[in-house]
Amino acid sequence: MKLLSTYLKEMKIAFRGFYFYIEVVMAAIILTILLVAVKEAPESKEKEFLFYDMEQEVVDFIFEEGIGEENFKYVDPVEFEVKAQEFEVTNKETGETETYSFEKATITVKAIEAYEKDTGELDKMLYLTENEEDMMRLAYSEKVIGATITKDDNWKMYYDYYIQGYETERMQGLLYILHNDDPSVLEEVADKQVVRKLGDVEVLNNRQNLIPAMVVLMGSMMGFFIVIAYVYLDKGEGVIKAFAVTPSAVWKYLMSKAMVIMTTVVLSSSIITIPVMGGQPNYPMFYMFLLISTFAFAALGLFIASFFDSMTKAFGALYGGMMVMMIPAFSYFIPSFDPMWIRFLPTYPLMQGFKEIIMVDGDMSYVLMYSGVFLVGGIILFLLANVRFKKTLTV
Amino acid sequence: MLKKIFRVLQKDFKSSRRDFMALYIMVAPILIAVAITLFTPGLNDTTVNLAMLESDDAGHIDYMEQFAKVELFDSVEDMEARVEKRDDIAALVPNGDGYEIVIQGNEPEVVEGFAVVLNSLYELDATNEETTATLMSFGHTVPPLKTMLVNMLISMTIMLAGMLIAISIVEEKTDNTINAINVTPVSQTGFVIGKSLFGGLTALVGIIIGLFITGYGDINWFMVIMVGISSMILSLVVGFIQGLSSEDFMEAASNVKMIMLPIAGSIAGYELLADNWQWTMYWSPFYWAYKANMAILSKTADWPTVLLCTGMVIALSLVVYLLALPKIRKGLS
Amino acid sequence: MISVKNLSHSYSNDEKLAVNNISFEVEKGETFGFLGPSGAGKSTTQGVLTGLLKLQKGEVEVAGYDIKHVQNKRFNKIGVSFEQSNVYGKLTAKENLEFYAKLFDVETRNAQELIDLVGLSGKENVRAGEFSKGMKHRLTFARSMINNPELWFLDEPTTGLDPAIAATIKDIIREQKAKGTTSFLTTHNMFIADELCDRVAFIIDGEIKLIDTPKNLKLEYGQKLVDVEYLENDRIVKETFKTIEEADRNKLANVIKKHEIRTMHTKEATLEEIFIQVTGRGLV
Repeated sequence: MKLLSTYLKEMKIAFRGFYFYIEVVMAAIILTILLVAVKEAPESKEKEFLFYDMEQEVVDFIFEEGIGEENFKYVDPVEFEVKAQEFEVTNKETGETETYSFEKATITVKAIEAYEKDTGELDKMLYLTENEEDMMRLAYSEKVIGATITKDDNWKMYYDYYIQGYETERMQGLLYILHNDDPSVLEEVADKQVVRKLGDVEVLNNRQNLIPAMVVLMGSMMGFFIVIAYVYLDKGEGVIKAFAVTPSAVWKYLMSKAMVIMTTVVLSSSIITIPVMGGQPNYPMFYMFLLISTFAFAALGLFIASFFDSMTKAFGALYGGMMVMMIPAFSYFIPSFDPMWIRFLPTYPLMQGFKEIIMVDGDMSYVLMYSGVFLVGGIILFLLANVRFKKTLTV
Repeated sequence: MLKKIFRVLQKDFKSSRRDFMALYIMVAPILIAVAITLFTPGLNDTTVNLAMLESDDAGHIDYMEQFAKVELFDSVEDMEARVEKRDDIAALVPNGDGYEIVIQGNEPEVVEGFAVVLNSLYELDATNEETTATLMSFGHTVPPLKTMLVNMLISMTIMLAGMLIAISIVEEKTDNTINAINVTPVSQTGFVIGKSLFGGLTALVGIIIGLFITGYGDINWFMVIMVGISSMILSLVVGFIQGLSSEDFMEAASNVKMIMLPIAGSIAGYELLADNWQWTMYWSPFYWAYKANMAILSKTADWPTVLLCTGMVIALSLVVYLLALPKIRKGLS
Repeated sequence: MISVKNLSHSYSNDEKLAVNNISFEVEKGETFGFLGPSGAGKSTTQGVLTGLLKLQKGEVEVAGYDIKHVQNKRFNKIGVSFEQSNVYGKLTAKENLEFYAKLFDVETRNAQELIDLVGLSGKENVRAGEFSKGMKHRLTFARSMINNPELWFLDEPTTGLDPAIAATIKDIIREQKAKGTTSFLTTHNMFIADELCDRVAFIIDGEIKLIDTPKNLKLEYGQKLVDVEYLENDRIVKETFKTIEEADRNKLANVIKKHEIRTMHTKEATLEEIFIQVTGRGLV
């Protein structure tokens, strides 16, 4: 009953404060951005600049079959405004370097949309330049790959790739051999490759894929920061001391703080998730995982707050902690970046766990396992925070 | 007034060693810079992960290792178990005379695409000896992701300085020391500027050190300092407004959370929006600061661009300041 | 009600002691004053007694509970009025009291009744954040009575209050005393101590110098004096006579007999004067 009274009192204070409404408004803004600005399928921004150093008829012939099969499509020419430039180009085999200097110019290029064979979705944009210099200028300014393509009398194609310089050895190695044979030959062999999928896993679309990151970073993790602000607010008002001289244990005071954060996070996460995911997620698991993880982060926040006597002093630890917790977001969005140590940061299993929950037939054993881990961790941190708070009370 | 602002600055410098504020603002960008320098090599890998059998043809394994990260396993079951793990990896499983590509089904399409192309090239026995390609390099050794991260470091440091200024102003209000200033010759504005200036200057120093650590020592420093000063003004204005308009730490925390949205949104807008949609971000001073820094870091900046961006940051900061002036006055009284 | 034996406390966990080996007892129903300047160790002692500070050395029993063995239920018998007001700014006066009442296991007083008692009638639905300093202090004081405490800790109960409100507070303390409440009062205001306390302890630099009733202290340390203003040759003369000395008594009788007396006042020593005399230091 005392815990309930304390919790209700905290909720009353939260409703009368600014913060609660900010949470709701922020969630609504994020939802709006997700629904309006984030497409379900990512729009390909990939582009290449090509200069075919051959007759136009030959170029037309090269693209003719693809256009017929609807793999390519000419669209309106595009103008690029290019600033004055000066750069060097080094031949990676010979080591020869040539310096180029250009004035500001507007370069018009032919544009071709290239589509994926299997799905028919737009894969990339190909821009055909009139000359090699234009191709170089555009590849340099747009920071993408460019190529000069020539042919010999036997119709064998040669490629001079213009790369930025930071591409890995592996990527460069691939470029060397990609066009050893005619593209149609490679295509024929590729079409014969057998691909077996282990499961009939429904992939999350681009918009849905953002939900786990949003819920974790803006939800559970923010709880860590906000609970500390709550505690320092009370420290400033001195109300912890008043609480400490009642029969109600200090842990109930701390728990009520965590419960307010949990309530707020449940609300804001629901605002973001339900309109985007509809009925697909396993909602009982979702809320269980959310509550437990928010409790764990709040406990961590309380523990940290007990070490400092002012918000300014605590802030450094907070900010550092938050920056470290954000690192798994890189791994989430860049799957190739997946070092072992990242998996030990709590936000990693959180994001993966929420991903499983919102997917169809996600791995619930993973979620349950980490729910247990966060619950135990949260309880331990909470107990430690309780000891520290009692120890650091003063007159 | 300037003398008095300097006195406040001096006092803040003295108290900062106890206060941790300066320590955090200066140390944070340095720590982030070290982290970026350590992490970005791993971030740049642009090929695919492949699982293969240890007993597979050594030539095949060697071939694939030229173009992908290969993990070796004892059995097909082990490979399939590996594929089913959370990250994205494709397995090349022997199947009769050839191989089949095994994936989980939820990987991005590029993973399957890469695996198909690589195995096809292997079957075609494509090697460097028969290459028809020449590689010409522009000599950019810094990957764009690193530039983006360093730019985010700058944004995060500015944000941190603003947040800390806000919180320390709220502390002054809570302790009522701000009222003590009201009965001294230092004007209220002078006091808060002096206080904020300290945080801003510390942030600038931290950023400069961070840029050296991440290997950007050869950029145009005049441009950096110009953009840095304008960003500092932005940070002061934001911290100032947040601090004075917040009655307590909860409100300060809410304001901090609110401000993260335009900052993150500005970065996301710059990186993700198509060129013809960039205008939707023109309202945000954070966008202009990020844009200017991006150009400077990638050494494509010219003075007209830098001046435009700097001007926009200052102008928009001023607009925000003027709009918030009634609230600022109320907060100081 | 309170038993303290050889209590010592250090904030820095070393030989630098804020409270050094003090011992005293407070009887049930007594109003006991802890008198001393700032930094003497009053708040530290009270902190240990109320459980806000952990007992480091010594034996302390409060309201029948040995504070070495933490038992939260002892707080049902205790009320604490803090020197610095610590109420929830976003809750109204009434909400502050009603919430606090729910934290106790015993019967509690009516919030409105307490609000009326401390002179905050009409302000019960105003958020405490909008109160003046004095109003917040009164609310903190009212809150300390919510659980009908048997043992009442009062830390500077009238500091910063205007005389009228201070008088109200003193009356309340006297009423509670009449009901049998034991009070532990810490203050550096000797008038309050003199008016309200049955016994006072003088504490300075963490040590208790003496404990006695105000009356006994005045009797023992005070000097009985009479200030007289009289007319002599159309001139006003002021003189002070010690009534315990025969020579002075004779002189006084002579003055009364021979001169026109303008004013005459007896003068008792104040607790502050006694404090200075005993400790060599002032109360502030």
